[in-house]
Amino acid sequence: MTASTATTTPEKHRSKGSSLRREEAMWGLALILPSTLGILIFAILPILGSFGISFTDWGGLSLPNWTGLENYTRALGDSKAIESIGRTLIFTILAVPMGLVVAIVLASLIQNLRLEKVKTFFRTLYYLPMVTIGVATALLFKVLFTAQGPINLPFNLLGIQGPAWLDSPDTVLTAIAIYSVWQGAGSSIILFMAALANVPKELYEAAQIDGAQPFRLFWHITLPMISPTIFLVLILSLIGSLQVFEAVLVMTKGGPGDSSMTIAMYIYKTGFNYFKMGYATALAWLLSLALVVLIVLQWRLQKSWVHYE
Amino acid sequence: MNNLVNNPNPVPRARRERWSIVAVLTLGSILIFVPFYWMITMAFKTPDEAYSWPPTLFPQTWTLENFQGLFATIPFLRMFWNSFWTSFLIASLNILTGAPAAYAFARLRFPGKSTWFGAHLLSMIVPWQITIIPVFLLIRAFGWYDSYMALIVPSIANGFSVFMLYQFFRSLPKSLEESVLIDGGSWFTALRHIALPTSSGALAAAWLLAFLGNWQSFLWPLIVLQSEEKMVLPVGLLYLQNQFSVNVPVLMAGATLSVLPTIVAYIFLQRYLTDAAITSGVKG
Repeated sequence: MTASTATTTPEKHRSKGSSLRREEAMWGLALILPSTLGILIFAILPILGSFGISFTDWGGLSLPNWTGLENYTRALGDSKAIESIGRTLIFTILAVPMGLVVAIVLASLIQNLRLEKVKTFFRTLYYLPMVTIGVATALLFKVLFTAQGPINLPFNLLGIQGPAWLDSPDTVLTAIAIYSVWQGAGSSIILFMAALANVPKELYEAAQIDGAQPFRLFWHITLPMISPTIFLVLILSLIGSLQVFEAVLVMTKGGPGDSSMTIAMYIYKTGFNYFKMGYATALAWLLSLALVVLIVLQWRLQKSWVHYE
Repeated sequence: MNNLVNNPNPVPRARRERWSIVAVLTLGSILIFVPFYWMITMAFKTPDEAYSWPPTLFPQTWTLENFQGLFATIPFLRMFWNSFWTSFLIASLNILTGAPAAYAFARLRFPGKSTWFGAHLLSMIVPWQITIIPVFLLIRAFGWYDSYMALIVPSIANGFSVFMLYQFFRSLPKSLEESVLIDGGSWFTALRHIALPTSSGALAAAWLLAFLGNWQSFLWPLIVLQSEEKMVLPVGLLYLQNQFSVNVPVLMAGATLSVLPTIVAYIFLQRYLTDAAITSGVKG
């Protein structure tokens, strides 16, 4: 715009335009300055710093020694780290599909209700765990998952002694997955509800005239139409699950034994309990690399199943 | 999805379908609600009753001794207040620094714009495991360990708030601001008198999400704060759990008192928050 005016109008205008330009640039930089300073000091600088630390043997107190790739090669042979990655993957397989299915089903049921108020009621209710302090609800579930807790009440009514969910290596990851679905379903539900509201009604009407049954409508129209949101929720919950930490720290601290030691928990322990800060940051970089690879992979895969308008 | 066209007898089927939907949703609500119910009732039970089997659905004798036990073990009100004012201050600082930045990124042209915006996005998605140790070092170097500065200063800028408000400002029509600029007003005038007043809803939503994020955060305070009188609520609850003298009903009293205020606030503010969560999720 300014370029074309500059060629057709005299010098005066041109200098006015460029001073406006300069003023705009000054304002822009001034407006972003406070926020950008904060981001640079407390996010970008630490990212660079942690990359440096990951190549040292730094333990938190003494001066660090440069050890090159040692932390990274060590990670590849660290059976505890590898096992914790395996457990994290098991947890992810337990939590992510369960969360997705629960959220899609509940969201489409809510969306099928007629009264706006009833819709809002259910949506609000399912979202409640999201606005509570995670530590408090994790503590609560720790009580619920005891052998005498209410989660075992149905088993007890059938005369079966339910397990102490968090005390057995066989059930501990399932229990934490159930908790995280309980806690996180609400946010996926509102995303799916927003997506479902945008599916054009005419699509259903046309299919209904052809006599399609509700399940077929859901499978052939609803799911493809909300597939971008399924993709989004899938990515968000994968990232969340692969970094599961807070629930583990509060409920089990990684136990019994190491049976709920996830990778994020292992990194935390390595850094803040054993003070191997160099090694912990190297593990953190490996985790992030894995997350990036996974997201890129999903991005590639989405082309085959995500349907964009 | 409630296809009734080919059904010879549509009314009963429609009704049945609607009732089964409500039944499933109610079952789901019960699953959400029962843990909270358990927590609240247990907070009012005597220890004997709390551990009795089979469990009672309703406290036989209501008691406040668990709350007394809670206040005797940790300075609960102090921790609640600490959580509240730090979250309030941080959320306000987030908006104060974030709204101008978001506006500039959405509207103005200036050198390095995409780099600076990229830095904000990066801060939003980088896993905490990467940054937490270096930020801890910075805090220690500044001499801020075990002080509120350690809690507040690193959180002043919030990439997430900037991104959310950026999305919002981009969706505003430009015409009003242009008229201010043509009349010789500055960009700051356009921001202050046009953009900010029209986006009070979005600002409130961003503030609420920032407040909630800080209210729930526990790892960072766990690492940088040590003195009991500075502790925030989530860390206090963790600390309560580690006290040997504390029994489950006392723990549930603590959980109840920390969970209920935000639930009540949420019920009043839910429209703002839900819209914000959709915006940030869908466009994120």
